[in-house]
Amino acid sequence: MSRSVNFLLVEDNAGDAFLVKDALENGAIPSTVAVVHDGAAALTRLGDKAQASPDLIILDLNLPKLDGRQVLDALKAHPDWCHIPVVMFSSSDAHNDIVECYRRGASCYVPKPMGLDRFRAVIRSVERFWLEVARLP
Amino acid sequence: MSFTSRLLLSSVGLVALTALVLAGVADWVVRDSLTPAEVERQLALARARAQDLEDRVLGLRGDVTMLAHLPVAAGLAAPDSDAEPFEMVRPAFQAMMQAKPSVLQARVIALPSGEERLRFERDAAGGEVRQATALQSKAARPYVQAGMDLAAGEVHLSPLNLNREHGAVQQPPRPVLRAVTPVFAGATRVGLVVINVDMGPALAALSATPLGTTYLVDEQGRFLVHPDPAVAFAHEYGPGVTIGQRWPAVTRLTAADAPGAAVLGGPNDSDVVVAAVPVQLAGGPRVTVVTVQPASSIAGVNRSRALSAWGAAGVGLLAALMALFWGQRLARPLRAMTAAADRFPTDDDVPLPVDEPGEMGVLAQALARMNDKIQSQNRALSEQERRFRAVVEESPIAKFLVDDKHHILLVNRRAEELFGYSRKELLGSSIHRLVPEGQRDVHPGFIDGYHQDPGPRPMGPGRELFGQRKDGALVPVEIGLNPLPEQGGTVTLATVVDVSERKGREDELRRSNRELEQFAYVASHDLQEPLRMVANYTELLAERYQDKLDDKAQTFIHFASDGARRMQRLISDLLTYSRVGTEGKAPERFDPATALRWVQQDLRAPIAATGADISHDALPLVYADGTQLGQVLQNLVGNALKFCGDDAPRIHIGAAREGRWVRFSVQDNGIGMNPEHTGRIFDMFQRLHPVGTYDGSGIGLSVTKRIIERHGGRIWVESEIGGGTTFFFTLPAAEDA
Repeated sequence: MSRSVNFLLVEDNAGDAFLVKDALENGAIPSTVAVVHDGAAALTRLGDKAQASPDLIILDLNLPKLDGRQVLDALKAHPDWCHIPVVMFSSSDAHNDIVECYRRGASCYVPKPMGLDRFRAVIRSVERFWLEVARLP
Repeated sequence: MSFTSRLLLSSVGLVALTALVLAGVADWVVRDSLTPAEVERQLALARARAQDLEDRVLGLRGDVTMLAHLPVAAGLAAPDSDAEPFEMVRPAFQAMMQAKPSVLQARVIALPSGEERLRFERDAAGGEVRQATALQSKAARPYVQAGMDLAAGEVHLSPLNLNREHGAVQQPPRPVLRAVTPVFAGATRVGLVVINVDMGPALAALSATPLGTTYLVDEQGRFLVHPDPAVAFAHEYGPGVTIGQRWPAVTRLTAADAPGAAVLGGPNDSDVVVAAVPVQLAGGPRVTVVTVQPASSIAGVNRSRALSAWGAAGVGLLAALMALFWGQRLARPLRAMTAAADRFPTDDDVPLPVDEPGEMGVLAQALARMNDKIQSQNRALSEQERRFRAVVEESPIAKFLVDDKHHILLVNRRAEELFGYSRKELLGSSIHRLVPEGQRDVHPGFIDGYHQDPGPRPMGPGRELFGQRKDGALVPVEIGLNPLPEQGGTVTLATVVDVSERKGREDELRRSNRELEQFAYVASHDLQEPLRMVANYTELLAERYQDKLDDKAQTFIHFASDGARRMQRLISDLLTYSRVGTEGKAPERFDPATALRWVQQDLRAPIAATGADISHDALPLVYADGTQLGQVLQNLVGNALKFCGDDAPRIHIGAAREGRWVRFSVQDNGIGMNPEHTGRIFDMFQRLHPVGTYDGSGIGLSVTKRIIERHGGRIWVESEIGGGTTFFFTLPAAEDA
């Protein structure tokens, strides 16, 4: 892959955002991580023509302003964004939450794991799967 | 029939019966012994009379044959010229007539001319015998005709009749009998000797008796001797009278050829003894002597009967009076007692004849005691009923008594309150009015169905029941039905409990449980986030600044991480616990062996590490959420692996049917526990061992218990220190036993 991959990380928790960004940017694949801290900001950023369209969106479920579900609905309803894979990344591993997200069109659902090592390992797995195994549009 | 009249009837009847029996016995004795003797005596008397008559007639025969033996034939043969042809026989005729005053005439008649040749006759007035001068021809007389056929020595007697002079009956009437005998000259019958005998004295002698009456009748039954002179020989003057006409009953005796006697009903309705003896006068007519005498023995019987009757009447009257007296005497207190008993039980002063002597008084006293007893029992009963009424009336549960026509017979106060109707409105009306409008059509069907198989039971099990108040509002209720068999049908006691409050509480409890679960879920979820932050950044700190921190700082960081990790574990367990309720699925038929396979798969690492041996019985199908059953087995098997002793763990999963349930057991040979602690190990966060000795937060058994209870089952444990532990739990069976 010649160009670097653009991630959009929607995460209100600065600590988690730091760890995800850190993990992705220090990963094997060169990538750019744009971070927004609420759902509304995510949609604003996507609508901004000056910014490059993201290849993959990592979306937290519990967000201020618009929460993860609403953002997901907005993405899937929008003709320009509906094809972008969305990885849900949430501290909830409640069955209802998981089912709901897939129904709304999430590409995958990844619970935030406990422990720094496992956290990093999960992020790397996601990165490897989407960038090396799966083919992005 | 009253007591008095029964007493009267029976005593009078007894007297009458006794009199009848006595009279019957007397009658029988008389008829059996006295009467035959009397009849026999009467017959003997008649025989004697008859014999007497016969003897007299025999004498007559002797007289006439004696005259015939005289030389009468010579006189007859003498020529007409002989002035005195009967010179030889005249003195003998004269002497015989003088000796026998009853002989009225004696004559000699020549045969075959029938001319009278000699006649002596007795002067009617003086009785002097003289020879008649004017002789007559007697050829036409029946006795002359009869005499022509007589053999020598034979005598013919004429019928007994009244003497006639020139064809008319001589007065006073004189019964006569003629005796005729022939006179022979050689072999030739030349004449007849005839004597006329006055039978008056003989007949008078016949009837001359102080006892009874004697009759003499001829062959035709005509009276020859009768006490009434007009009747004797009446046939000589006119048509005459026969004994059969006068007294038909006697003909059976007079018509017989042999002597006979009997007791007959006499002409005046009195019984008489009658004897009849026929006498065949030799060569003459047959007559019958009839003697009649009042039957003295029968008269005795009649007298005794009359006496008995009077006596019986007298005794009967006495008995009747006594019966009346005693009947009234006994009936009066009885009437008083009856009238009093009709008013029982009573507080009034009823007149009971307690002072009456004898059994009556005792009975009256017993009645008085009975009255007292009934009264006290009634008081006790009404007190008891008042209490029961109060129990029913004041019950906080609404009660209805309903008959099999669905009508309300009884309600209590709570029933009025619950449905808002007054008692007056409810009693007698149909129970269906209390049923919600939409169900009134089907309710009678339910009631009839209940009556098919009545028994104590809750109504509409498993359904929510409602009653409708008068104002139309629906009340959630629980209804219990109890059949009370009565005479002529079954009434049903329905107890109705208003469960609106309880339902409200249940709803509230459900809501609060849900909220609590929600809270636990949200809380643990929201707690996790900052905790993760603490844990992650503590680790990051240790990682990035390892070379800048001294050993003490490293130790502190280690404590912080360890605390964060344990807190995470607690939160995660709490989450698991709360999810039992929120994320459990509906139980379905499930094979526990499948869950066991999952468990063995999940725990393969510790199983391999401990060298555990896991065995199990055949596991029957159950109704369960398979995932949760897996959780249960994983917790229990996991515990068994965790709390093993020095030996390799041996774990056995058993299963046994217990009615509708399957009882599972998970048995190990581990370290066991103090039985005192077996109660609290299912409480949340209870640990028997200090932190660090055995891994775990102490939530596993709480989750297990919650899962089992969610399925309606039970869980318990049996254990001893060093003796292994066995967990038991039950789940609903999915197959018939």
